[in-house]
Amino acid sequence: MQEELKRRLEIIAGYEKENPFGNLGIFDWAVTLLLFIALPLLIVIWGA
Amino acid sequence: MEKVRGNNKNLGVSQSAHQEEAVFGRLPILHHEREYSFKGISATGFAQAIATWCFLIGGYSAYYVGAVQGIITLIAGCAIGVTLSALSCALACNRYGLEQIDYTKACFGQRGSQIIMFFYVINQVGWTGLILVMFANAFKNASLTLGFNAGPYIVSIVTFLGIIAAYAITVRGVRMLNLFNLIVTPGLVIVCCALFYFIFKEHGWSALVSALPLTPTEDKQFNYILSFEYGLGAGFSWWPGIGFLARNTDNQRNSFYPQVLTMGFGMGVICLTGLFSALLFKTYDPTEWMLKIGGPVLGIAALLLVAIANISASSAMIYIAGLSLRHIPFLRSIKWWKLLAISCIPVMAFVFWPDYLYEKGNAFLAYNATMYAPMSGILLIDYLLLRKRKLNVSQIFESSKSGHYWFFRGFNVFAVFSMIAGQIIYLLLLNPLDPTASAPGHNMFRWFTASVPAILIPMAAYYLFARFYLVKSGYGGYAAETAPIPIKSPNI
Repeated sequence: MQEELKRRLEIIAGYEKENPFGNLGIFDWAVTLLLFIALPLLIVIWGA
Repeated sequence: MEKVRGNNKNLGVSQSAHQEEAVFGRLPILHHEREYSFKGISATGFAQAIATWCFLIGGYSAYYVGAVQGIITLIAGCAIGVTLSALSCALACNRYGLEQIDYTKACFGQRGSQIIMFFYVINQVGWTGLILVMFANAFKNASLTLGFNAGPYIVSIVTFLGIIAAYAITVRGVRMLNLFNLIVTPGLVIVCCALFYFIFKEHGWSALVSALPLTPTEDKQFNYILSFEYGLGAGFSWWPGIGFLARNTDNQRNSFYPQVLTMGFGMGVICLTGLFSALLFKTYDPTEWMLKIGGPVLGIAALLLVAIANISASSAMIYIAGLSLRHIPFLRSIKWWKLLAISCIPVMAFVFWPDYLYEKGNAFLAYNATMYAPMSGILLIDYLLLRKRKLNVSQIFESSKSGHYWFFRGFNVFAVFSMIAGQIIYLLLLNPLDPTASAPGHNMFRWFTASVPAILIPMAAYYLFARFYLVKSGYGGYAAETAPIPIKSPNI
């Protein structure tokens, strides 16, 4: 298990450069904040 | 699951075992081992979101609000709660393939994460108990409909049998669960569609809009905000499940969007079946209103499906609870069947007090928000702002005192205190056991809910503590390199 963990940690360290998972960009953050948080909140305030 | 099994054909036995251990245990999952793309995680997320507890959540809202306000508060609450939960854990668990409790070690410390694990297990136990009592009530009401009265202890007896059945399935492994889900998910989709169809065909929108809440208070604003709080609580309830899925997903976007869409917005919509039915039939209990909507034949068929679904969901939660108990050092080497049996012990409370605990399910929803709202805020600010999305994964598995995430005697006291402060704030604003009882911050709750201050205040407090003390004094590895460091005392 320890050897396997070590092997995996080394591979994961390589992900820092390769970045195979991508990042959430500005567009994603805008969608998240506006559509998933601000808009539902505004609708709740309106509904009150 | 299929993808992992497929890959195993090309791997040696030992490698295959490690891959299984990664997916179902604590080893970080590598990129090529991930099971879910957008389609896969959306299907899995939807399968979870459509679970029978949605019927209960909608029913609890029906106590206080009508159809229109319920639609707004449940959908918005679920969406916001899941968004914040997902932001706090999905991105990190996905990037590093980390198991969720392991990830919290970077913020709460090696030992502090066990506090989170405790909340995590309570969440699993609570939902398991609630849906097993629902399973027992389904049996009781179906037998009453058929003219058979099984006596006063039937709910306790069937709940106990449900625990045994869920345990037996879990011991046989995750693949057994997948087999159940093949039947349950499509079945529940059909039940939900049928419920919407019957509600609108038999009663119509005008009857729904004019249906009064079951037991509202005189304060309409309080009723409305309380229903929103239930929605938030339902959203935050997903915190334990989100990391498990996100670590198994192929990229950051797929680890986030599908969960918000399915467990957030999707669950909000499914909760409406419970809300509408409770408003029309004046009972929050799905095992009662299903018989009223569908009649004896369709109603019993639906209840049978609910019963199977609840056993399946209970098995999954016992499984997750068992996995999380592996974080406790003395339980690490115990046999799997014994560990699962330990997970089942707290659920036995539902055998002794089934009706009381079932009726207090709304308190459990609020409990979830009490626990997970502050924690989500702290994890979110720690990972995104303070650590700038970088962890040293090797240090997650380092339990020696020199490890980055050892903090103070294994606890990040600032994170723990901020979280406790958030929980106290929540309790000052809303009494989860009796929401209508006037809590000290009752007036503030009417405007801000309990979850919103309970997430924002600890978040701000922790940011200040960490930014001006932990980062500067070198605790917590905030400015350290992320390259792997040889582990002196592994915790796996």
